Formats: sequence, structure tokens, C-alpha cells
Amino acid sequence: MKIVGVRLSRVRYPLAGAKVTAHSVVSQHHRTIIRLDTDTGLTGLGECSGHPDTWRLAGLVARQMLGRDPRDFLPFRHEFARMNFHQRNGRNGWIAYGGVETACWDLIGRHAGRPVFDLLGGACRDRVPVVLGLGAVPLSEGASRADAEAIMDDLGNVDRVVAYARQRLGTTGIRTIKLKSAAYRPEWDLQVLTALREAFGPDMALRVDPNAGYTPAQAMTLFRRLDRLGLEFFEDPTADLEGMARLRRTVRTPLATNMCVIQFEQLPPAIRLGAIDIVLGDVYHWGGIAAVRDLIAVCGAFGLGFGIHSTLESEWDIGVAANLHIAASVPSMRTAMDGHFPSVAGGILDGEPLRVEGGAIRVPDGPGLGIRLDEAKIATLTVETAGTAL
Amino acid sequence: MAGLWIEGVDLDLLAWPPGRGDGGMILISVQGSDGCVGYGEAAAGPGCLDRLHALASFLPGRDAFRLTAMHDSWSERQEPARGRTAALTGAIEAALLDLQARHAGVPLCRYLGGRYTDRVPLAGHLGGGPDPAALAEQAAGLVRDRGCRALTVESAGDDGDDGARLAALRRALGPDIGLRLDLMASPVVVQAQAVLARVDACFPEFVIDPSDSLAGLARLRRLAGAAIAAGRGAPDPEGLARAIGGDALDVWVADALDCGGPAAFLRGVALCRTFAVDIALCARGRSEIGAALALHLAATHRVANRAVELAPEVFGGVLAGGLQVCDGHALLPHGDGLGVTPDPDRVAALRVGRITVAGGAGAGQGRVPA
Repeated sequence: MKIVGVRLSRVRYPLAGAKVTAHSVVSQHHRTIIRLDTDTGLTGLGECSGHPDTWRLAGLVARQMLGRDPRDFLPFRHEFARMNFHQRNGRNGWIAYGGVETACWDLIGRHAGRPVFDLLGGACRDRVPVVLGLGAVPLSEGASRADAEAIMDDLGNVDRVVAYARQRLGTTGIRTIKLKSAAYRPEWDLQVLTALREAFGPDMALRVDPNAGYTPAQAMTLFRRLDRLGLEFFEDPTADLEGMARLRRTVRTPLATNMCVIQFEQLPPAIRLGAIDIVLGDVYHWGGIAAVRDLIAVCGAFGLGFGIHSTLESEWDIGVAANLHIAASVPSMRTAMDGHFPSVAGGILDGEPLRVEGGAIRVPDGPGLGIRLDEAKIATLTVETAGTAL
Repeated sequence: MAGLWIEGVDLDLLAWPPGRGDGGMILISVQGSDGCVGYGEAAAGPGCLDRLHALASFLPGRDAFRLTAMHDSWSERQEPARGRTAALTGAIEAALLDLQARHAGVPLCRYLGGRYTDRVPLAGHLGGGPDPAALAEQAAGLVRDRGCRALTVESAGDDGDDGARLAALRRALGPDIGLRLDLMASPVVVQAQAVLARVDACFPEFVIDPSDSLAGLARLRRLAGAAIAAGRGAPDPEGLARAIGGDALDVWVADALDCGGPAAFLRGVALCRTFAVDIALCARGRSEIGAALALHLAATHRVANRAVELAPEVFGGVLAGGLQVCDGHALLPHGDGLGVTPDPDRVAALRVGRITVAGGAGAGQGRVPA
């Protein structure tokens, strides 16, 4: 089996409303859809960020795969990706590589007639619980950071977040809420999380993610007060290993990260410093499915928890499917899968969509990732294409 | 979806090494519904055949890809001797991985993510003996006849001077041959420290298990110039993590079967890569089956690129031709899966017992769901 063609589409990914985080207010993302065609007539699907830098790098990596057997991804990783990305393009390179490597796994599974989770040792579950991803405040499309801050200036608006969460939860059965913090006003975060706890009771797992927007000193003040709410974890409450380690010594709630530990060389200092409890990994930052498998091994050996992270909470269906296969094959995964569920405005799959039911998504069990693209839908969202063939 | 169901399992108790009267090795053959057979092997300690039989009895009717589910089934019935059982389940897992790769029609190294080399440097094992001159002569023979690039020499303990022995070896072999001194988990750190000081001028490649405790290994690692390797001190990925956490090693000496099987070994690879620890694979005492597994793993993971220690028997054990060596390197066997298939006549000649597990709970009909 040899890769003989590469086709990429940069697509617009519309969100339902504007999403407010510590660093941005966005109404849409862009994603890179990757298709690797083989001489056996198969097409493997991958996805990564559609940022112009990763879009360019994804094209570069995918073209390097031409003529290779997709099953030979490890030498490629070590020979090409490490040299190029470690030394030059860093995180963006690994994100691009992760998208291409996902397409390789899809091909390997399709060729073998097995779902990807079987290539990872088999499934421990056929459904994966997911989170409800909440922006810091509910905003309509086109709103600005100033609009968000105006809402947060009035603590009387806290109820709007609760009402929005209730509406979004609907009948999905989701049992975990992840709140993005704008890291704008600690009191707002405290009041919102308190209100969510009161509204949904102790059985609803709560997480908060200020994307390292608070300084360690600010974080110590806020998160010690949040301790009493019994959150599942604080995600990147502050920046960097040193700050996380200091905070971790002062709070009881576990600390999770997808910002200060996103590459393997960051694990040893994180472990030595006692900076984290949970690593939130994904195929993009860590550079592919095999890398996430290695990450899970390291976490398990050192007593760290592992959870599935979502890149900008914006993977589309291919990325979600890849995450589902990983989550299905990890016995030790105890936390709901990250993502912007269920707010994605329409999927890009041909056939059965990835639907949240009973708080979980069923893992596709067809060969490879078990999904097919709706190319007509992709075409309506495409802003750029690239491709090459042998 | 194409299923790969396990139809049956044969457990052959073999006289191993060849010429030994009793059984020293168990050859595991797992038959798949596609007609392929995957191979693994386990050392035949006391009671191992019976326990392997009990573990294998769960296999017929199961999907050969569902390794996690099988491990769950086994661990629910875990016996007290957990470590020993892990080596046995690891041996079965190796056979299933071989079966999967054969089913996919690719060599095991490609099934595991691709290879970066097709030959692996060869290491040998010196039995020991206190006399430096005799040891040097034996070592020179191994290097001359088999082209070994590294040699493991066991400590003479109180019976000899390891400094003089390594010096003799270095003089006889020159600077390019790696010397690995195995102190076999010495219980006295200060003695080990003295040995390390004496052998330092011989530039050993690494010193294996110079202490029987992680604290001792860590202390010696701070004091010694030589790289410290842990084998017995890091018998599985969990032990490896403890050793890494204790700053106790530079090199992990691992038998991919004894450490719990290929999946456990790959977890160890992830740990070693993350914490900048080298891996020296050791298939001492293994047949061509275990040796081929080690070669595929070494060919896939650059971190495990150090010379792989193979037993002399791999040049004529259960295979008709044995493994191939060229210029001090073992060549990666060609073909699907492990790329080696035991010769029925040789197996028959070595066989001292056999257990067949077939049909039973569901081969062919009542297949066990995932």
C-alpha cells in the first residue's frame, strides 16, 4: 500500500454563536481536511487546525508522505517530523503532522478491515461521555470582547450563563460542563460556577478553563475559593509549570493542563515539580495517535490522569472520531471527552452523524475511523484547496 | 468487518536449550480463523505450562485484536504470582500480535509503525569465570565467530577481580566492542562502588544492576562514571517508572517477553524516550521466536538501537536455518509477522510435552463478543 495522492481542503467551521475565552472571541474557526489516497483505492482522512501556518505545514507533511506506505509512520516521525518541527516549526508542525498521521491510521484500519480502536488493543467501551463546552458568557455571532466584558461587569448576568447551559444541555444527557473563563473578573468566575453547582447539583461534573489567563497569585486567591465547589479539575488555571506547581500546593482540586505540558520533554519537569494531576492530550499537540498512546503510557506509569483534550474545542468530525477511537481503547480514562459539544453547526459526515445521546457519543465501528465525508458539504465550506499526486 | 477469530492454541514444551532433557521453553502457537498461525514463547519455570494452559483456555472463539479485553479476563483471574503471570500473558500477547501482523500481510515491524533499519547489532553473553586470560580468550572467540559488537560479562563476585577481568577483555577486544558488566543486583553498595571504580578505566558500555535497590542504583549513578543499567531493578514498566522517578538508571535492560509482553515493552519505550533513557534489548535464553520479536522491536524504535543480546541457540534452534547474521548484525527476518516459522521436525525433536487448546467455548460458532 502506497500513498499516491494528497488532497487538502481548508474549510470554514461555523460555531453556534460567539465563543468567549480568556484570549479570544470567535464565531468560527478554520480546519484543514486531509485526504491521503493510496494505490489500493483507499482514502484516509485526517484533520488539523486551519490556521494559515498549520495549513501550509499540513501540505508540506502530506506531500512528504507521497510514495510511502502509511504503515511506516514511525520512521517518518523520527526522521522528518522531529528534525523539522522540533527545531523550527514547533507546535504548529506537530499539529500538522498529527492530522496527517491520523489519516495514516485511518488507512491502516481500512486496509486491515478493522476500526482504529482495534489497532490500539481493542475497545473498552462503545460510547464515550462528552462535555458540554460553555463559553465564558453567551454571545451572539459577531459580538466583541467589549460586549463580553460588559456582561461580566454585572453579576446580575450570572443567571444568563445558567439559563444558557440549561438550554444547551437540553436532552443530551451530558453530565459534565466545561466552562471557559475569560480570566477577566475572578468574582464572575466564582459566581458562575457557584450558580452552576446550585442549578445542576453535585452529580454534574464541573470544570473551568481560564487558559492560563490568571497569574499564579491571582489564581491562588480564586481557586482556593473554588475548592469548596468540588470541581472535577481546574484546567490551566495559571501559566507554566512553576505557577501550576505553586498553585497545586495550595488547592485540593486536581490541576489539568493542555498548555504547559504538550510535548514529551515537558513531562519530566512537570512530574518532578509536581505541577499537574491530569494531562489533557490530543492527536494535534502531541503529534498523532501513536504519540497519544505513548503519552497515556507515561501518565499511567507516573500516576497522572489522562483526558482527551480538544484543540480550541473545535475538532470537527474527523478529529472527534479520532479522539473517540483513542478514548474507546483507554481503560483508565475516567473523564468525559473534551469538545465543543453539542454546539457545532452541522456536521461534515456522509451518513450517521456523531450525535450526543445519553451524554455520550457512540464510537464508529467501521474500518479505520469508521466515517465518510460529505464532500458536497465540504465544498460549500471550502476556502482553499491544495493537492498533488504521484 | 473481517473478524480474526482464534481457533485454537498449541503449547509445546520443548527441551531448551537443545540437548537439555527437561522442558525449558514453551512454544505457543495460536491458530487464527484466516489460516495464519502466530508464535510466542515463554520460559518453562515450575508450573508455567499449567498456568499457560489456564490462560490459553480463554482464547478460542475470541477476536485476536481485542487484547485489552483478554488482559481484563486474565487479570480477573489473576494468580498470586503476578509477575510470573505477566510474563506468560505477555508471551501469548506476542503470539497474537504476530498473528495480527500475518493477518495484515506485513512484517511485525511495519505493523508496529515501520522500521528504520533492517539489521540490529548483535551482543553476546560471557558465562563468566574468574580468570581474566580465559575470559578474554572466550570473548575473542565470540567476537571472531559471531561478530558480536557488545558482550555482557557477569561479575566474578568474591572469586575474582572484575577490574582485571574487564581490563583483559578491553586489551583483547580493542576499544570498539561494548563491555557490559553485570553485577547481578549486588546487595552491598560500597562493594559495588569499589568495583565501579576499578572498571572505570576500561570504559564499560554500562554496568547492569550494580545494586539490588533503587536507592543504591541512584547513589552509584551519582558517584560512578559509567552508565548505570537496570534490568532486575526495572522488571516491568511500573518498575521502570519507579527507577526513573528515583533517578536510578541510564539504560533499561529489557526482555520484551519477561517485562509483560510487547505492549508493556512499548509502554517502557514511551517512558524511556520521554526521560532520555536508552534501551538494551535482551533475548538471552530465547529461541528464534523471542529473538525475532526483539529484532522487530529494535528495528522499530531507535531508542532500542543498542546491540541486542541473543542466545547462541538462535543460530539453529527451532528454525531450520536459524537467524541470519552479517557483519556483526542480526538481520531482520523477512516475511509477514515475526518472519520466522518453527520447523515441525525440529519442534518434534525437541518436544517433551504438548497441550492443545481448541474449540472449547466457541471456536467457529459461539464467538465471544468484544
